[in-house]
Amino acid sequence: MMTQNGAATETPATQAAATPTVARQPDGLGKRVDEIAEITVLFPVKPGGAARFRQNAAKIQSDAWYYEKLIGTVHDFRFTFINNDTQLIGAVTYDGDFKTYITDIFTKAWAWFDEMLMDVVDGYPGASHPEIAEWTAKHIVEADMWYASNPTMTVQDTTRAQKVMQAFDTLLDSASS
Amino acid sequence: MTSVQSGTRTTAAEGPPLQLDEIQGIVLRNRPSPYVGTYLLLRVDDPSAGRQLMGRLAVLVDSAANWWQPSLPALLNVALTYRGLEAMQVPPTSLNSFPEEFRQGMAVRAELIGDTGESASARWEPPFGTGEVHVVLSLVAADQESLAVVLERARQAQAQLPGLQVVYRQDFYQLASGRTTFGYRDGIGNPTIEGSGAPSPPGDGRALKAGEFVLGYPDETGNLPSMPQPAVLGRNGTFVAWRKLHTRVAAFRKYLRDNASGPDEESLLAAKIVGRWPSGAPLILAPERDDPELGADDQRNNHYLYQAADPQGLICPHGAHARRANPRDSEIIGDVHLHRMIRRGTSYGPPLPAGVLDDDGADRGIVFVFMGSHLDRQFEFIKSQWLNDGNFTGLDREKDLLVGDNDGTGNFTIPARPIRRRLHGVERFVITRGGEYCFLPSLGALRWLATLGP
Repeated sequence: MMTQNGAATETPATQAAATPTVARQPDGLGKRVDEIAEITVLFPVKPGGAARFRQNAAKIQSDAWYYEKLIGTVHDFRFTFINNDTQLIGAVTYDGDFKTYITDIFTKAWAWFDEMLMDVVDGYPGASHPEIAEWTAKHIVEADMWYASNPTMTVQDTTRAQKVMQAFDTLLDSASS
Repeated sequence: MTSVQSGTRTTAAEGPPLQLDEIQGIVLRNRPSPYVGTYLLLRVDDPSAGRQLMGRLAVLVDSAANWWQPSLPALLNVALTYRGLEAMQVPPTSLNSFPEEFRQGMAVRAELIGDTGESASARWEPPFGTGEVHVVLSLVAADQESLAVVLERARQAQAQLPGLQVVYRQDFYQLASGRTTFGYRDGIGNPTIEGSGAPSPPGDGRALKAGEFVLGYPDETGNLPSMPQPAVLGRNGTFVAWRKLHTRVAAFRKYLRDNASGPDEESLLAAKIVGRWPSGAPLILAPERDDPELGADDQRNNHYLYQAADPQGLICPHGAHARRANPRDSEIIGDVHLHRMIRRGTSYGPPLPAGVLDDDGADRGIVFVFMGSHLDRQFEFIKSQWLNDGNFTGLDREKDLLVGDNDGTGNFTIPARPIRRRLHGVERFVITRGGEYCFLPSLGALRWLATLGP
């Protein structure tokens, strides 16, 4: 595009070649770009639910590192109470399709999900419930804009890249000492 | 980590004992060895003929209870595709109670499971993927003579039911070597199932919940898996992925020769790719050379773990076929117990003589048979995550060298010190010639199907 004084400006259209395409997940739930995906959920909160969550907040926060390491596909994950503690919004960035690891996640980390959501979210059936994946899917509110810096890098790729860099630095250190 | 909550899942249910006399024998019992057999694929043109066939089969199919005293000289089993259930006019409410992937069928799911390029469903042999395969009959015997007796009976039964057409026949037999066309002993390491009554040689860990493999029982999540309705149709049944896989044996041998400096290195490289030696001896227990005694010893040949012995894959690479197909205790994404399968593979076609590196044009390979309660969480997951991708074990997009959907650009990483080795230019060595998703009903469900209809 040319401005009135004739200078060229960059527009999204001229950058298109380098822009990853953000699309719908192949299984239809949430957005996807290259290897990674987003899921955003909005849950109704029981009266007093937010207070209950906050009572356990320190343990919930500390357990996150344990459970997310067990799962190994989650880049980041947050919960925020909104609208005077009447709703809970959750946002996750993770690798791959929605359904692929959903049973693994609830089977491995059911205790953590129950710790966070039982008696907090209205209608939460428990992470061990046979229909937990379907229940979760009903509360998805897809992101309207989503950006991720390295959409071709999975959590595993990042971990491996760190290891490779460390090994490479060690090699260079020993070669130069 | 001490802060993690401990406890038991509240919904864990104790299951009733397995109804062995209702479950088709092939689900819980190994086939004979040596074996010879045939698959007959039928199309049902007349619903009442299809239902009559179900009624006749209900008294001929051997259950897991009398598998060792078969009622016929050959073991007979039967499975139905979704189109087959439709062709027998199963009520719509029942049809809709089957899981989506089964209703879609294998051809629709082909891309997800890596059937692309030469394996694409558009290139499958007819009638696979056309909707014309309705019933799959499996006949397996210890010798040709016994098989012939049962085949003759099957022919007579079909002759009386003109509404049925044989649309495909695939013979199979165990090669004299007792190995697959690639030259490896197969069929080691099927999961041990709680309550199955089958011998359980020392293996990779505990027995798995019956519901992972038979519908109507609690599974590894602690729940009852959802089941086709009515219960008499679903209970004691399971799902099958049936696949005819052509093996490019000469191309595989050439690849080994091109990437090794001599016969010893070649056989070690092949063992790194497969995870076992030709005798079946696992690489973890025999790191340097084959050990036929170990391979033949069912008490020892599956009794090992990976993570404790070999966390870095220096003995058995993380990308080796056997380690991918069942990573056991390896550090991977997810829970290994949720992604296991019963395999009932058989060989077809002539062996390629030893030492031959040029393709002779013969069709040879494996009829691969998966059985389990979840086509998506078990078969499709293992194909898409463990065999056709490497992310689960930190291998980026690297695929299984032997069975992956490689296209000539694949890699294979062999961890080693000081520097790992990486093979390049991996092509596709296994080509899908066709396949179908099936439902393997209980004997009671066969009787129920027989009584359907106007």
